[in-house]
Amino acid sequence: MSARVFSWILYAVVGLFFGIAAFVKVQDPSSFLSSLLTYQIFSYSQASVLAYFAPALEVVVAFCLVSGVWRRGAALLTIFMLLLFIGLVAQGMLRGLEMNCGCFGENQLQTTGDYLLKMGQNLVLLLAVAGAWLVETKSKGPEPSDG
Amino acid sequence: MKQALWQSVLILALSSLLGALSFAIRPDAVPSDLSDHEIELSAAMLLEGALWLDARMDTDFDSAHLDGALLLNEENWDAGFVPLLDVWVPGSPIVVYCSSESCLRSHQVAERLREELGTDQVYSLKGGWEALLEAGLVERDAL
Repeated sequence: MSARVFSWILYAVVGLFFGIAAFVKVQDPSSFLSSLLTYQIFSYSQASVLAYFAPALEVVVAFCLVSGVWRRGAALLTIFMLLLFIGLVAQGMLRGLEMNCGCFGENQLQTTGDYLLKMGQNLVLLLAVAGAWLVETKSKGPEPSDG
Repeated sequence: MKQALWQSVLILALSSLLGALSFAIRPDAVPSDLSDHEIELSAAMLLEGALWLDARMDTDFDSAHLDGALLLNEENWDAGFVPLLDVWVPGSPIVVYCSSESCLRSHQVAERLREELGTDQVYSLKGGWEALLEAGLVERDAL
């Protein structure tokens, strides 16, 4: 399998995850809003804006990762979103919150095990994107004079 | 890297547009004001002949619930709505609770009940299950 195909598969898997997550959120924005509020970090108005914006971002990122359009930007945003999410989950664990992550609909985080599993899942996605980026970069050679 | 940053900015801009479009198409997809028809526990306790409804998930209800409360949630609406009609006296108030302050399920159930029962006296309990726990009206899950 060529490096190019391998990196595409990794991007596609992560893109698929984001696409499904967005689909669930778009279907029931109020449930997602409810989940965001359990993080106890967003005000109601901030969570309301995120309830519309986050699924839209996930849809665009998923499309870009799978199709290859603006893929590097999508990969960068994916890494940022996953790190942010891991941070948000970690703060919930440290504060002893009972959260609903809102990732794929109802997903209660109550025990330390739940939190660690959720962070682990996102770490795997993070490694997949970072790996795909590295493989893609190596297979293409250095970027053209882009900065 | 510069290319990736520029693409990120474009993706964020496009997502903002899509988000705004989504809001324009479905402005009521998320409730804009939770305070409407929300009631404090102290006030709810004073409601005469109030019927209490648990809007949490079935498993939560099975684990523990307020004495006398009926289960009614969006997932199994018909299963909960029929028993409610058997015991609800038209004109009497209804108080719906879910898990916590951040939970919207009670607001959604209360709103649907106001529409289906044609009454304005359906309230969502502020603080939900957490408020009932703090007041000592219920105990932590038996499981």
